Amino acid sequence: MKRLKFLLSAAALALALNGPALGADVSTHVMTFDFQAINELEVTGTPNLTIASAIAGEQPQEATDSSSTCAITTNGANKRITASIDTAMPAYVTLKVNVAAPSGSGTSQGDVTLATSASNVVTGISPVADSSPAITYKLSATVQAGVLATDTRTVTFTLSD
Amino acid sequence: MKKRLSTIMAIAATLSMLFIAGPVMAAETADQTVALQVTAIDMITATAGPTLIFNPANIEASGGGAYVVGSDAFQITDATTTYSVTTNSASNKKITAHLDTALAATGLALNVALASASGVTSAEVAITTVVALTPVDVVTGLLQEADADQVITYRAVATVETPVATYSPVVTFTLTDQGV
Amino acid sequence: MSFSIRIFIIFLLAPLFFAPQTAHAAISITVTGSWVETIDKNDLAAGAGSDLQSTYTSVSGQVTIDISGTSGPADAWRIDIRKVDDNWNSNLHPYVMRTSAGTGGSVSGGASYQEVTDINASFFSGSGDVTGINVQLRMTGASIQINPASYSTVLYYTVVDIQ
Repeated sequence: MKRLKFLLSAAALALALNGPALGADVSTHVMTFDFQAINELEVTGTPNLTIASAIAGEQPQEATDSSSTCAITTNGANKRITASIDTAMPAYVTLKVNVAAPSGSGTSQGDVTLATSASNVVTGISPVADSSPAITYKLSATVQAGVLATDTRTVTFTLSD
Repeated sequence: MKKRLSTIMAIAATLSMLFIAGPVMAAETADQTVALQVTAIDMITATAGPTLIFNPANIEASGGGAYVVGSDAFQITDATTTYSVTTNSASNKKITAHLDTALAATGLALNVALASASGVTSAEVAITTVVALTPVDVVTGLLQEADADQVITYRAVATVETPVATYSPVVTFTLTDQGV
Repeated sequence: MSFSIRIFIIFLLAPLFFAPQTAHAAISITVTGSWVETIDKNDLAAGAGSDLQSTYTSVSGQVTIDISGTSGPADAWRIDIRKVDDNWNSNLHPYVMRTSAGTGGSVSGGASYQEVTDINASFFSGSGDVTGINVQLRMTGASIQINPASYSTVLYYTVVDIQ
């Protein structure tokens, strides 16, 4: 009996080994996503600054405009925003800009006096997408500036390393 | 015909693209135009007027010094009030003074002198009968100045004939063009 | 059991060990196509101030699959799929979806997007030779938090002959 069981088991094993052969084949393809550097800046608003009053005995009062915003998207690290104006301000007249840092990214440099050479207004910007950072302009003038007829300046904001 | 039609359509397509107001394109650089202006600023204010009370404790001799009993005229002075002025004018400004109503009481006179850190001050000016139509200069030559808390000195003169009463003239200081 | 009976049984069973192999076909898969996508400022959801669109989808049939070498229309098979990353970002997730039945044979399953992982998973099945099975690809998880670089992964399609 024992031997019969052995032989029957061997038969079963033989049948199993000679069962249908399992075929398999492999083919491949690649998926590639090339993430480019993205550094986008957009400024909206039409700021208008008029100095028109003073407290008697004091210099003219500063004019302020907070109607502008700066939208930013970057996937870079340690970026900064600089600002400059196209033409120097008249003597005794100062234009300042304050750009808020994007949410959770970067440090605003506060009120920065604008000149024809670029100055940092926000530094240390890490990857961020924010459409709301506020831009505040301040115009100040001493009495020595006299009366200034309506004039314009083009402020250039640059997002860079 | 076909060629003309396709040409017309191409031109129309181009023109329509020119009229489409696309969004401002974002970039690494963004420009913004800021409009600036400084208007003419001419401001003068004065602190509340003094109260000059002629009484034996504070009167002086007319012209200054201790009052001598028996003198007909006497005066009191006050230098407790000030004025402040700001002007960004590129041409000279002046400050004038006048009363709302001339002082008509017998023997009563009012004089005023304004200090100025920047302008040319007049010597004390009599304003007893100076009214709006004929203001007098008290400071001249103010050119792009901002002077705060300049002293106003009043000198009121009365005589023994001056009726005992309360007189409340309003003194008006005006910052105006000096002219030639 | 007598010796002669044992010998008989052995000779009876021996052929089973040396029986010629059943004539199974060498089933084969051919995948044609690939997907290369550039993600740049034009993919921002709404310009400056907005993040990247998170999901990208290829055209239907970006990749096509041919199955050949089956023994006939009834020869059943299954396609397994997995990925092997080259330079990949764990925030990115690839998906595949079968978008056509091809020509010939029969195909079923795989008609919804399924994520491709590092582990083999069944994609779709069928029987017989089939050509031109269209596959559409999708990738999710893009954002500006992903460093600028090129990220690649290789999708492995394995055809398994099944009974």
